[in-house]
Amino acid sequence: MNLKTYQYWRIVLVAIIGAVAAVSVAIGNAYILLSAVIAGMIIIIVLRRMVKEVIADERTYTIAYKAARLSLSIVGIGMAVTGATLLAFSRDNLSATLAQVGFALLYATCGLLMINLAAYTYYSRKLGGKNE
Amino acid sequence: MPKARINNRIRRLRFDSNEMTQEELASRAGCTRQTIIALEQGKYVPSIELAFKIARAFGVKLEEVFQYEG
Repeated sequence: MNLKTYQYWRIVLVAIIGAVAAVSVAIGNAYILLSAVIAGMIIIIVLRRMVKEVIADERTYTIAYKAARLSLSIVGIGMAVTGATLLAFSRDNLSATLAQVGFALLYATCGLLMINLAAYTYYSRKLGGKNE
Repeated sequence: MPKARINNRIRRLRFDSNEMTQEELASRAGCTRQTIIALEQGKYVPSIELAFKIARAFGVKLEEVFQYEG
């Protein structure tokens, strides 16, 4: 299988999973969605193995790394600022809902930073650079 | 930190190698055609491993493909 055929089937698969997701939401059955997503992932893995050309290389990974880093900064800062702003407003207005949303955003930011720290520590150890 | 400039002669070497296509070079070097395009346009600097693979694909030394201008 060549790269173009793989990309075509991947789009078809995503469209089918999207349709199944819509149906499962409409009828209120989460198992259908879960089964479709798992089946889709397995099919994608099988299709990937059938492709003889290189799908992703070091440049692709560099792009993904830079995009992930930028996304993390934007989402992290955005959520922290929004959460803190909502908390500040909730004190003036005594709104419990605003405070809850603010706390949720700040806890999510903390979670994001913790995962980032854990991943950074893991890769830092894996890739060396520590004084012996 | 000043940006390092690494030039390459990939396009020249491709034409000298019986007009090797970007697709063929990508296949030999184990990367995508988009990476070869980016390298030829000077938009991407490869890892040392890919640089060696590209040099090997042409059957020349690394210095004949890539030149460092610090």
